Amino acid sequence: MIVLALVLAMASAPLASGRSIAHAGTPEPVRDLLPGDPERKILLDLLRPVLELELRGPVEFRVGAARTLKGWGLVHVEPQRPGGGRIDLGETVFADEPFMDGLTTDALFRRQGGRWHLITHVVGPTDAAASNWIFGAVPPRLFMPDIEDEAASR
Amino acid sequence: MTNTFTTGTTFALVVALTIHARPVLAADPLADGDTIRAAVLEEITPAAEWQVGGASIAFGRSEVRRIGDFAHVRAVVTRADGGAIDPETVAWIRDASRPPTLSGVLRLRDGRWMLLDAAIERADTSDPDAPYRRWRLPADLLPPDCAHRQNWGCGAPSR
Repeated sequence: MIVLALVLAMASAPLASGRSIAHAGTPEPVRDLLPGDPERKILLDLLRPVLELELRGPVEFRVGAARTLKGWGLVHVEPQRPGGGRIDLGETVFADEPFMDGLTTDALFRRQGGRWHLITHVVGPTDAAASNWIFGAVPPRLFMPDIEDEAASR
Repeated sequence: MTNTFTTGTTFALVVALTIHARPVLAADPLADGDTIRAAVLEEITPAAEWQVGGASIAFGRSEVRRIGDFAHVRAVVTRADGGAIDPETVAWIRDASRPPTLSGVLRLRDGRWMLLDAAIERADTSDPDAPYRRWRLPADLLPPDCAHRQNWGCGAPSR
């Protein structure tokens, strides 16, 4: 049920809409990173090197979501070859993976020491794997912008 | 036209190529105080902290190898005060090796060592670097899998 809720929340989140969602009692709103936002480019450039190895070639992204909150960042992207070419799964390190659902990629980032760091990523998960990343100080609203952190952690 | 490739030249060439092509052992770990080693450990710190539940951490025994613009790190993750982290207390790493040990790969881009991937080793995994072996990294960057099975062994230098 929680996974379903997360999937629905991520799918219905304001993808690249550019709006920040303010919540009563929460001083820092979720920040959606629009095209051209320097932080959006920083996060995507941190993710790119590992995907170029895993997908065995240059990649660019169709960005479904890119947002930050409280020093944490999340991107939800569809990798493609430069110019929009489709990536053949058979050419990637995942060629022999029995359980893949496309190449859609989620990645988590942390701002520390004045700069962003890639924390983890997942390619082609068959479920809402990124929802497993919500622990420690990771704010649930990063994944579900329309809920309150407190409600999500109950 | 004169044929300059004599038998002697060919023999010398074969010998030279044979010597050059000898197997190379995994890169030696960088020494304490090495600036690249320090930069790599700093870069993996946020990921290591997240993997053990968000607490501040320090690194115990650790090895950093570097070939070109790639680096591999293997490091025991401890509490900030040096105390051991009990994987049983962190749901995410309940199946981790004891002590929790992180393996990861980084790449140098634009003058910065950037984390590509890192994970706390699972107790039931014989080769924590197996996913990275598919990446076509520089030969000898990754330690042999026996380093995990034999507790940093394989006769490799370690601290």
